[in-house]
Amino acid sequence: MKKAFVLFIFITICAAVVWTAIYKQNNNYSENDFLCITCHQGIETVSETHKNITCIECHGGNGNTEDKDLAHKDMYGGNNPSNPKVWDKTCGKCHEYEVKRVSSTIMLTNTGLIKNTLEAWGESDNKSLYSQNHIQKAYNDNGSIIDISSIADNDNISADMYRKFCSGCHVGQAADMGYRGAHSSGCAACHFPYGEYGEYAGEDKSMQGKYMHSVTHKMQSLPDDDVCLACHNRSGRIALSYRGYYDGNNALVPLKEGIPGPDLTSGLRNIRHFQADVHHAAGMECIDCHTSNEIMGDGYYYENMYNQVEISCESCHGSYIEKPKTKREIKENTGSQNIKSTYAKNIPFGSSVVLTDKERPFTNVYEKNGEFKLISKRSGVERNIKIITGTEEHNIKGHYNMECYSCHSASVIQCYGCHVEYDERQTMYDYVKDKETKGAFKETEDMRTFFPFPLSYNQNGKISPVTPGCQTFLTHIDEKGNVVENDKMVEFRGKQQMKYAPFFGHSIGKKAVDCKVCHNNTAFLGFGDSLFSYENKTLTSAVKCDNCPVPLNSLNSVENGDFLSKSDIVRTGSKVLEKETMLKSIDAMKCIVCHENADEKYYNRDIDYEKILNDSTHKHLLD
Amino acid sequence: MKKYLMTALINIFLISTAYGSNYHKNYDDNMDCSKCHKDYSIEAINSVHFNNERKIINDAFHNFDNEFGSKNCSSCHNMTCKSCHKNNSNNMIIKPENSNCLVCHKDVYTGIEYEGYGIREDHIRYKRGLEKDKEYYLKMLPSVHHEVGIKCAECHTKNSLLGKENPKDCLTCHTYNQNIIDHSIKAHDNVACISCHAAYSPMELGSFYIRLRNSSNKELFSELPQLDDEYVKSSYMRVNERPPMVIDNETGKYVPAKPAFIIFTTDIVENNVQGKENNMILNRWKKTYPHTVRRETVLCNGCHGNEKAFLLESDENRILYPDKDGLSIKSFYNSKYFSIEGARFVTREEYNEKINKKSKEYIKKYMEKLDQLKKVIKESK
Repeated sequence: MKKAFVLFIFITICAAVVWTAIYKQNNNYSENDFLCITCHQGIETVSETHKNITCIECHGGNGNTEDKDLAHKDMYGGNNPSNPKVWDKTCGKCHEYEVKRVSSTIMLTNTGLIKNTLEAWGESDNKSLYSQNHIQKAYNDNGSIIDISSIADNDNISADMYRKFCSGCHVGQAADMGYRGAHSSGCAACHFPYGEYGEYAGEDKSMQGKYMHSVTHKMQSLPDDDVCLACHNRSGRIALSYRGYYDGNNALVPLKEGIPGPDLTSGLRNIRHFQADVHHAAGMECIDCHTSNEIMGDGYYYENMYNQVEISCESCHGSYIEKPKTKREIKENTGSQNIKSTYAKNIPFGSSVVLTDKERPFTNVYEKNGEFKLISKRSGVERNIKIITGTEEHNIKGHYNMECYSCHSASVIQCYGCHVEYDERQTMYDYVKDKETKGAFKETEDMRTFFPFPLSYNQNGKISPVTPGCQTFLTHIDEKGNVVENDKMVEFRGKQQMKYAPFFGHSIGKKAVDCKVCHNNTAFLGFGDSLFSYENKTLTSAVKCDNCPVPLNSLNSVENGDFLSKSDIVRTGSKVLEKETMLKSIDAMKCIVCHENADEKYYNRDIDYEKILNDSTHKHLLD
Repeated sequence: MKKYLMTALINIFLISTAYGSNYHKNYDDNMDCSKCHKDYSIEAINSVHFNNERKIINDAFHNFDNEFGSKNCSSCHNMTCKSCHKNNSNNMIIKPENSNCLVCHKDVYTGIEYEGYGIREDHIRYKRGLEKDKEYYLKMLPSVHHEVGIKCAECHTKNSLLGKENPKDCLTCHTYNQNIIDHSIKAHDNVACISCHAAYSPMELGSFYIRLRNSSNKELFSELPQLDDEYVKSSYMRVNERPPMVIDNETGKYVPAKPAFIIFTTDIVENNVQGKENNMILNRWKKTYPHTVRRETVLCNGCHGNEKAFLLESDENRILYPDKDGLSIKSFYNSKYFSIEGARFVTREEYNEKINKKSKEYIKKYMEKLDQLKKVIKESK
């Protein structure tokens, strides 16, 4: 009897252990989570690698109560444990390296955006680094510790505008910027993407339809292009242009099924189609070019986006002189081998891997039998990369200092005239201070174009497309309703001048801009509509503007013999084209009139126009 | 057409020397102008000038909404003598000023650009800047004729409005200087002056009329112009651009053209689309004469080597893809999708063989022009 009882107890215990084990295996939750699951039944497992982690290890709170308030008390970061305010207690416990990197990424610090906003509004305080949140410890690119001022402490109008407009797109902050524009903060901003309306649509019934939650509780290790689009759909709009989306005049037509169309993005903006970037057309996604070091940062606090970016067209396509740089990968813990678990297909170990401009290995670009290949990270599709090294059309004298995308852009978005009204009688939500504060902003625009686009020198001294950046005109209404400023062009570097920014529009065309199109159209030299009168000694544009010193869509103009160059290029070291370069560009047209193609016979050396046009071949043509 | 009407109305009164006399001092609604001004009845002017336009619009909208024209066009296309001749502030009968003309000759209806008013996009985001008669405009270069103070009626003579004669054209006042490179090119004799000298033309590429009845979708369109209780208006694109060229049937010359109109309709009842959505019911370009005359002109590339300038944009060169947006056309700059009256489109053969033929003269003049361009930039201070 006693034996039988012991046996019964033993069997019961065994059964309980087995049952618990089976239960755990099926549900992937520990006893501590037992009660979380009573409400959140059906919630998705984060990922294969996260399946043995309990709810409260990431989320905090209390898994031993059915009382919702008690259970949710002291959760880390509310619905988002990856919120930068708490991420060192959550994701950072395991992913310390990533969290430290992301702490410094320019998409979190927004420092370039802040600096340029202040500068563009003539309110620069001459600091070089800013933060949206108070960062405790940061390193510059020399590795030294630096002090950073928070934009929350700045009380001028441009800082207020930054906090109320620009800062909505900030990895440190969840924000609802409207349809297709809602995103979380911290790691989740990219790895737990929000849906079109920011609503949960997974299997957890208690969360279904709830707003400002990720689509499901499943992690997206490799973010798709929609993630990037949630933020990069305004200003430069690169995520729109890349896909061939144009939000142009916002005219809400053509309609689609009775509503504005043909497609929509945040802020009830309709998007139409134009030529998509060839890389998109070939099936490539943002992350196929952009490396983790660029997106998540590499630990250093860069002043500008272009300091953090480590790739260029040349990294993969080479230059005329040099093929892409490679390095044989022989360590298991570097480059592609380090993150191979998430990629659909990996570079074979031991391959010659292509290096970024910072000489770090790409994780998906390599050399194979003398050819260069790129593997799409999510799909695993392997693609051949065209190498331009030694191709004569890239050996044109005078083009050596041009960015590839000066010729290869199908379009470059340009927003002319940004008229901002700042009304102190109203309030608006401040994303940084997380409250409504005095002063509301309203924006109107003059016109949008995409081709042709003006060229100038960028920060590397290369000729690059530029875009208005930004042409701000301020109307300031004080608390009593007095108009303090009326559509005043804000000063830049102490002067009233048009501001342009070097810009890669992310819309590489199927073919390059024709020689004759660029050399023949002085819009590329910054003369807008290029209306010319030799008799009046005038080269000007048709679009004028009340309070600006040159035509609205121009960098320069010649009016009755006066050269007006009232524009500046915003990046340090960048500048407008000089007359000499303009004249050289026009000179080249003399050849192009007849020799339309980039023929190596003519264009890979200095051209003495006088001599050539007077030689026996040409002279009789011009008599 | 409407500008003729306007000038005709002006001239009704020019014929009388009685402006300001006691007889005409105050406008009396019961007065019948045509009793005395027998040759200038409103009906006569209408029948000569815009009945054709009226028919085109009515035919196009016939299957969509028979009353579209009377609902949306009558504020201008329903003229009386006083529309032009009444001074609104004091009820006096006057010789029309530019401002009388521009009440109707605004937006894309040729006229207002003369004074430097360019059109804006339809969405409220673009509604700012210069304001005239409750419409917003872009500040543009005015016509050189406006700058020197010439009024509409000085070129648009009374008889021109009745179609009895042409309005004054360039060569009525100007001779052209053969020393100017562009003028010295023989082939340019086939090009109307305005084709080069129009700084830009206000053009609406694709007009959309959305009829919404008992539809809550209407609120989604609240930032677009509302024409009346039913109609919302929008456009694919509104630009102030150099106009494309077509060949005038009358003169055989290259003249500018504008869309008038390329119309798409959608009918929404409750929230359901009735019939075809974004249905192109009219695809018409016509000759135009942008009132943006400047001494400055486009350079050679404005036409030569520029297929868009002749509505010949090829599929491979286009940037916008309206077909991907659900429209039945691949480009707004390709004439194969459109019709034209009073003129014809340039063919690809003409474009290749005439416009881009690199004759000795072409090359020589091109070089000279480039040298001039260089000189102006180089010597500017």
